[in-house]
Amino acid sequence: MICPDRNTLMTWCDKEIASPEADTISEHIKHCESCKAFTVAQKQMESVWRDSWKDPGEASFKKMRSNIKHATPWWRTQRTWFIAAALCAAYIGVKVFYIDGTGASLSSIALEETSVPVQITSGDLSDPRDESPLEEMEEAVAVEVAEEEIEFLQDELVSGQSEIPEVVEELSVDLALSVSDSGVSVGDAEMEVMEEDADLISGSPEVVLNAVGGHHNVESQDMAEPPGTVDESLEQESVFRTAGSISSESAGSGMVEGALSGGVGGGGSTAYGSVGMSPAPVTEDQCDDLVEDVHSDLPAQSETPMITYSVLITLESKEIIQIQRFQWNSLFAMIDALQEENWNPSAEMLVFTVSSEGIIAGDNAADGAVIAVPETGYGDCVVTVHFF
Amino acid sequence: MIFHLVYFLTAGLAASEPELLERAVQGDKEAFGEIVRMYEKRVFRVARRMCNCDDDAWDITQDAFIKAMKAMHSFNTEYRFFTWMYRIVTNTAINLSRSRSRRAEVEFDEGYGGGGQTATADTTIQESNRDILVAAVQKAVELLTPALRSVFVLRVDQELSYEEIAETLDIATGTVMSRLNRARSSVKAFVVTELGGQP
Repeated sequence: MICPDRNTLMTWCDKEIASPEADTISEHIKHCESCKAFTVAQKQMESVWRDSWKDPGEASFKKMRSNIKHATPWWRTQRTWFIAAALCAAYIGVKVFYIDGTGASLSSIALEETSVPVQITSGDLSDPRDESPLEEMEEAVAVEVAEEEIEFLQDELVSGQSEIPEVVEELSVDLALSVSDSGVSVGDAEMEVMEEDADLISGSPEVVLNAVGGHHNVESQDMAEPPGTVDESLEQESVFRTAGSISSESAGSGMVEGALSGGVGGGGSTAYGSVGMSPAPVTEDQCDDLVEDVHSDLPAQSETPMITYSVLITLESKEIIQIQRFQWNSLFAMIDALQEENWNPSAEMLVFTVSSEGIIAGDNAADGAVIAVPETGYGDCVVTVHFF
Repeated sequence: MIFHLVYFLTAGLAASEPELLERAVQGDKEAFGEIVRMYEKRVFRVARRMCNCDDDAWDITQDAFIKAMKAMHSFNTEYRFFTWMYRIVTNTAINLSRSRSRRAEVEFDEGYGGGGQTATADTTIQESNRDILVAAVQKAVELLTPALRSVFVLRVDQELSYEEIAETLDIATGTVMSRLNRARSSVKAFVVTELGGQP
């Protein structure tokens, strides 16, 4: 028989080889001096080292047992308090962060990342309490945008200036307003502007309203004149709707760009006029009234529902040490990162996997994106964040 | 009556390991204390074999038991406790070794004189002084990388089977075999060289 290799011999010494082959090797070793010397030397070396062990004295073990006994039990460990503290911190943090009805922080996020047109239309507002948290955020943004739009409109109509404030240049809003002899109103009478309507306007100013914000509907009452104060046949009502983006290259060097159509109500006749080109079609008082009325239709700040996220974090790990070394600050890093990623706010549960690579977001963020890195490289635990 | 009293007293004193584990999982500190008594010497021995210092070995042992105590509520009593405990202590020792990085760990299997497989090497070992041989093996083990050292210690010193080592270290049995062969070859080559032989 050919001598088995040394690894096989050592495996045989460890009694890890099954019977038929083990018997063959045993028979071979009896007659092979080389293999016999190898196994004897290896066993001697290992047994000498193994037998050289001497247990330390009992006093040392007693001291160690005492230290272990006085160690913190598992139910008082950092993990328990970490979860409790993280829950409290997350709840308070979210409350403080989103409690402002004007949504200052949220609007800044929205200004940077969203460009969903905000449409101001007539209609019933849905009950804010029924809206999802994101809708509430958007509502706050829309309110802010609407207020800015109104200020802009007020300045524009009264002064006749065509300069577009920079703050407005960053906005993008669909705004439906009615301008009549007696004032400007936000209404639903002419929400749909036909292309041909715009074409029929000769020399009409072009309105530029850039917008920001989420998707929002704001109800406003028509600024209808009291009956009888204006002759309907003479009432000229210009309705314009702005759309699109601001362009500083628009004709008229800074004039508001867009489509402006005017419609004369009454008797079904239609006439078209221009608003922006008029020196001062409405008075300042009328604009103030408009602003006041629109404000009255907007949800008051105090009525704006607060965003109430409740976050529940569940940590699962094979070994407690991995949890202990996970820093709770990463929770906020996760939430911040979520807002930068394609966060699906309707999700009720977000799952992350903590590995040596970092925190890997689940389906609700970019696939495989590392959105936060734990303090240590320990991994193999799952972080589940529940949003209510 | 006296018989029953003695029976219950002795039964309480000599609780079986599964019973102690069940109680420890439920948070019974006394039961866990008994488990510590049962395993402390073996755990300390593994820790001492894995490191080169008595103080470190005590720290590792204590840390390992505290970790086990804190995680005891998550221990599945259907599994073997000693493999779980060995895993904790080897990981703790490896982490300590890596964090300190004080000593140069050399994996010197192939590059160290062919692994001590010559007849001369065997003769050198057999004829060596016992104390010198022990010191040489200890030094060689300390120079192994943590991955090889843990396998070597669990097999040679603790005499665990390949399957138990695989379960303890959460690696495949084939990986255990390959690491063990490399570790043995490295240790033997180093020892023969230390003894003045020719590997």
